[in-house]
Amino acid sequence: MSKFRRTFLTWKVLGPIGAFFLMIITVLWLAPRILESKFIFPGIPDVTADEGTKGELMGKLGDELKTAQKKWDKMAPSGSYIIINTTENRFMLYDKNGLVREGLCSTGSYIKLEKDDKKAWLFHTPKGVRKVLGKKKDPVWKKPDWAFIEEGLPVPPANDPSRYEYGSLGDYALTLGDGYMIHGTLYQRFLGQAVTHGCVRLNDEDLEVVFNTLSIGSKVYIY
Amino acid sequence: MQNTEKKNNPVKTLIAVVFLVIFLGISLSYILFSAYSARHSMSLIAGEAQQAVGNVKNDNLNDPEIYALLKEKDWLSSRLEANSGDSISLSLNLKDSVMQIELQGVVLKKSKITNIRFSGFFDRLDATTYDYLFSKPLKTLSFDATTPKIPLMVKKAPADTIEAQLQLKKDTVKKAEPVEWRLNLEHDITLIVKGLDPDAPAVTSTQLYSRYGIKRFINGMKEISQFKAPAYKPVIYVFIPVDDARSIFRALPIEALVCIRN
Repeated sequence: MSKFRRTFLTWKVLGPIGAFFLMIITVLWLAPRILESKFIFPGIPDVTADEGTKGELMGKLGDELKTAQKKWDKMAPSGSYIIINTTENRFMLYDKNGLVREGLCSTGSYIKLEKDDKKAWLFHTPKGVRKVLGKKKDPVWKKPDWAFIEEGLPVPPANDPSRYEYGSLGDYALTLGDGYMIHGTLYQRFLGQAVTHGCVRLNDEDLEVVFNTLSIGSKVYIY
Repeated sequence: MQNTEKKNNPVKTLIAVVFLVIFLGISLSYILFSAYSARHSMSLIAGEAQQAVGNVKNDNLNDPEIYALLKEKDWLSSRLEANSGDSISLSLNLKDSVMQIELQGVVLKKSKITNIRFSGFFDRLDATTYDYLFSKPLKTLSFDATTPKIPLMVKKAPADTIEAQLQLKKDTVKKAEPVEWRLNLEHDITLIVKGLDPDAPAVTSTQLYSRYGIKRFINGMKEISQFKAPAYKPVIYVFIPVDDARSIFRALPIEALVCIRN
């Protein structure tokens, strides 16, 4: 025991070990706190403006704030709109009184389908703001080429009857441009998942409310 | 026996002293150089801010009431500018602990910040410097993340219907992934967002802080060894629910505009 003490419990061993731990503590605990502390930086000047100057400055800043607030208020849509979250696959429908309905939806799967001849399609729901361009009841889906290629089927001519599918889009569809739509689905078990080719799918009840709340020109915010 | 120990002592003592000096020297030089760098960085930004207002010093803006109103005005003006385009922007309200993404005046997603930690730098800005930094949105210069921005999956077109059926049967179970992302903003400001999973063991802000402390130390020592003061970067650490962290990150464009209010 005494030999152990003599060998290890000396300042020559404990000193460097202690200094090493001190360095670790400095790096991990002390330095970040010192560097991010208020003591490192010079303080804000302690100023109390005289009443005249204060009134003038407060008035000027107040006016600028009011102008900015007016601009901000004008920016928001006055009518109904829908927000679609493509990561969580949820939607929120608003009208002028506030939130009307929220729930699950399905959006683009982010699958990139590649064909041998270097042709490819990316199934994503584009982010940003769009407008409802059209509203349809009992929509018919005209299947594009990728729908056949994805199923390993030969691609038929442009207006072949096999391209037209009835009932698969639900009772209503709202068109958003570039082939994108908000519509119903036969695959309601997939709601809440990113499984579509880019369109936004809703269940029957939600789709009816969305169809009746949004009008042509209503904004669709997708993120 | 004692004579032999005495003979060894000078070498042992020298080694001990060398290690002691090295470790203490590293600790001390790191703190001193970094502290100098932090102060220098603050004075540089303050200098830029003074230049931006034509070197006209207006200390009255530091009056607490005026400063508070200035912050409100800056917060709204910067968001107005960020929302005037057609890209999604990020608004970070450190005062009310709220992070949200906005597009053309519409709040797309609002997330309550569960834990927040930021450099003392942000609390010590005088009004002119604050106005210079935060009256306009900050541009994102670069980013990195543990989660992909676009969760792309490549699929080869099946040759026939049998192959198409086989593709459908492939396992599609998603793995839970940690979500942590960092935006490097203008003026060397760094924003680090950590997604907190309620089902996973929580990473405390101290753990996260220590992890970045090590990175900063390594980078700092590299610069000190080249006789340079280590670069100082004010950092904001934000903890939000993991789903919100993922949604917000994926929603933001690569060069996202970020508005900050303290």
